[in-house]
Amino acid sequence: MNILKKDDIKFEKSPTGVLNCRLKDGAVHEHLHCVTLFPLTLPEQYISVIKEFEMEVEEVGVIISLDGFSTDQLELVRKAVDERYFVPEILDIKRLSTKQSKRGHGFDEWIITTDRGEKTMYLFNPRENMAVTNAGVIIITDIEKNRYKITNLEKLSQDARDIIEGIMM
Amino acid sequence: MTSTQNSALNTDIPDQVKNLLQKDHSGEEIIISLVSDISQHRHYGAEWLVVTKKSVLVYCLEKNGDAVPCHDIAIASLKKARISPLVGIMSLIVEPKEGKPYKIISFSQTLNPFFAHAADAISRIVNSEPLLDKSTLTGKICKSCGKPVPEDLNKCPRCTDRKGTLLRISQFAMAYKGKLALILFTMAASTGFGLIPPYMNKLFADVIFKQDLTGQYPNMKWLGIACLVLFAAYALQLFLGGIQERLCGTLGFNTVADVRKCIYEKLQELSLGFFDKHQTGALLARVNQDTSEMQRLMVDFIPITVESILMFFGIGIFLFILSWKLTLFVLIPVVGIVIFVKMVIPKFWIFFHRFFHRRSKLSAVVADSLSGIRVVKAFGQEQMETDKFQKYSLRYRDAGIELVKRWSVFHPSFHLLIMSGAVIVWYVGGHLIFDGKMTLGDVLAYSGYLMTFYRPVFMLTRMLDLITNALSASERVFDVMDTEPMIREAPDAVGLPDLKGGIEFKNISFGYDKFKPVLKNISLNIRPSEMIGLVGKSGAGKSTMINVICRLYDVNEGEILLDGVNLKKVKQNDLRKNIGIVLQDTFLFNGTIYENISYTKPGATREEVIQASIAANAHEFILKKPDGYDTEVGERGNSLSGGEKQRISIARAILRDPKILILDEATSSVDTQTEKKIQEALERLTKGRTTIAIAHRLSTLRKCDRIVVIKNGEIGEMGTHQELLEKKGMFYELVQIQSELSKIMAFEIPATEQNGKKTKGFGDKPNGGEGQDGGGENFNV
Repeated sequence: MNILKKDDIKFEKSPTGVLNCRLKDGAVHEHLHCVTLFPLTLPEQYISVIKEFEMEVEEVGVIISLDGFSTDQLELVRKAVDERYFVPEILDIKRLSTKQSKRGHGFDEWIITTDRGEKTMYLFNPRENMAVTNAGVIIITDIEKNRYKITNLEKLSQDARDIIEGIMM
Repeated sequence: MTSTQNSALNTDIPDQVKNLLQKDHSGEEIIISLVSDISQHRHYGAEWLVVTKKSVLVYCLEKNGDAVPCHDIAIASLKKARISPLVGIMSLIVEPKEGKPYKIISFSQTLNPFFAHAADAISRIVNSEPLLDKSTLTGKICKSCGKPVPEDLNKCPRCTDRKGTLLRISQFAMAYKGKLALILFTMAASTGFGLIPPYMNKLFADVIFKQDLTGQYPNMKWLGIACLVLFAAYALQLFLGGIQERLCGTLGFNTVADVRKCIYEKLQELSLGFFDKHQTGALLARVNQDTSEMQRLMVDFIPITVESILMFFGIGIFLFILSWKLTLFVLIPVVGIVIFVKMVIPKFWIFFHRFFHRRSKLSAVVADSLSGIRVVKAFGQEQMETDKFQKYSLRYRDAGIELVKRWSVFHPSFHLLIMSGAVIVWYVGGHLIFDGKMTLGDVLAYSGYLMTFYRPVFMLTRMLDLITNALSASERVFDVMDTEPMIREAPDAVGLPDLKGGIEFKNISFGYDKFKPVLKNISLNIRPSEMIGLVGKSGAGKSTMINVICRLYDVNEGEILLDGVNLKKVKQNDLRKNIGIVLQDTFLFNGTIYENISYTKPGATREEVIQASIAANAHEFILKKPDGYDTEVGERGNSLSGGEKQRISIARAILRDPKILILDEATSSVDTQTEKKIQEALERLTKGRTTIAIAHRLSTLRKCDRIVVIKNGEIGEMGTHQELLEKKGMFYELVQIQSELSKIMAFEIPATEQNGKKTKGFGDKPNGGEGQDGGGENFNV
């Protein structure tokens, strides 16, 4: 594993928005992506810098920690990671309804407020589509395979907490 | 600017985008116009993709709400377009003729079908190919709301209206109408007799024990008769109750047996894709535990509820007859009860849900650990597993304690509310007696009826846990029943009685996730009786090719022809009858060797089974077993070695006598001597059959008529063994790597053995028969 520390790599963004980098040895790599190796448990650590060619992947190196990276470099890495992961944080569940009754005899329809805006999502068999990671993050996958997360259940409103706890806790 | 309107692929474009189009691309025909749901700022929001025959355009919204062009790309400058699936988000990527590919628009999985179609359309315009028929997409669009239907569901969640769980269960019970009518009759009769005892209380107080002016009891003679009537009322009520219990029990067991049959049939019918996504343990729980919970609902809850409802109305009428004034007072606590039921009980669902959820989690942990006990022991992780179990066990315990704590407050409070009705009766009734408007007997009878009047509520709260659990279980059962199989037999499917075995792949593309193709535009014609070897790296798509031939999955594009007939138009039974499979990981059912071999041909004679075993080189090892063909193979065939299991699997295929034979790494995981025996058996088996072999060891493919090298889901190379070696391409390279590796292994293994450090693999058994797991020369290509 090629471990990349803050002085080993310098990211740049091309005018067309492509992420490139220059390594300490002078090697230049273009068209890069940043993949978090532990997206749920350590989202800001172990970030793999890769190049993709159709189905093949070549790893340039792994950033174990972002500590010490300059602000502009941090922003580039975080933006690159963000490009790849779209898992909005649920901030509130505004309404929960089902097509037939209040007790889950149909698809559950949730109107949620997330850090990326409001969204209506549908859950089929909610118990099986919610999972708690070892880090305590609740991951919810809707019927269209879109993912959402709840990092801290306590921050949700009491009603929203009741909904989640009623289903899965 | 003109537009080809189509509901699925041409969404409405806002006026400001229209104006921009008019300004910059006047006169260009819009082929596709789509709105995305994630903006370039990574928030939910709209951007527009417009594809014309000349341009690919993306319009974004600025913060002030103005639309601006984000991308304006000439089609002529592009090589192709594709979808890039990421986590929770997808992107449409364009690949320019010069330069690197780049993303032009992002969207959620919801809109995937539309944008995948758009990407395909762009590529086709670039290559001057005809556009795909839009019906290939509109099949996945809900006819009611026009939105895409999720791949796995086959029905639109926005427009699906499922019936209530109780209603659905009762539909199953409707198959036993006669019994149901009898139950209702016994319930009504039993309820009727249940109304007599409280009334007798009134008669005892007001008539029989009433003294005349002389202090005598003039109606004393009626005492014996009244007691007899009371006894008869109790006896008949209980007798009818017994009959009703028996009828309800029978009905419950019958109904749930029907539900169980239904869910099991459904599981057999569902496509492999469903099982890829669901844990076996969870499905087992559906069939066994959840249906048992439904049974409790049928046997305990529903009869009591119906009886209580009958009682509620029957007694309600009596109460009004006895004293409408008192009845109005008695209704006061009912208001409180209703509020309690509406406001407080729903809070309790959470604790019950939590309790049952943690219980099922604990079961899952135990099941998981025990099924992997070999691995646990091999790595000495018993303590870790115990700790894990303890963690879930304590969580379950805590949920139970929490539930009991809350219940201990809730239950008495609720009962006190109910009992306050009785206090009201004596207080208000007492005043009515003092006023001479009611007799003591009236109040006694009233008090008796009141307890029965409140019973439904009382019973329902006591059964709260049962109801919660049973309804949740029923919902889970119906969830499976509502799942539509992805693969269905066409109504005009044809049989293949005389299959010759020709297989043709015509431009097929397939991905387990439709938007991540594993096989890409593969065309291959396999002649009847031809033997084809499939070679390629892990994940290249070899096993996927087998899966689509067996129609375990349907191809996304193109078609597979069997003797010229589209696979989708072949009767599934005929298809399965004509295909025999020998897999690397042989699955044997718990039973005897004989039962396992004859599995593929029910009713096969003993002679046929022995003949097949001889041909499969299995007979010789079976002979050595003390119980011969009656040897129990154990759970998943664990009492046999890998090589033995493999040969049983070959015998199974020989007995099946299929026209098409599939060998998926059939000789892997066995030592060279066993491999030789398996090879001999396979040669006999493949004679006269179309054979597709995925080989672990390239040397075993020498006898193939053609070898096909699969690379990244495409055919990289094709030819005979000799041709490919002479070509010095991919196959030659793989052979070189393998022979190099063999040399290294040949050098290392004896050295290791000399040092007395021969390592044993997991699958090795101390007395596992002749075929030990090899492994040194295995190289997965």
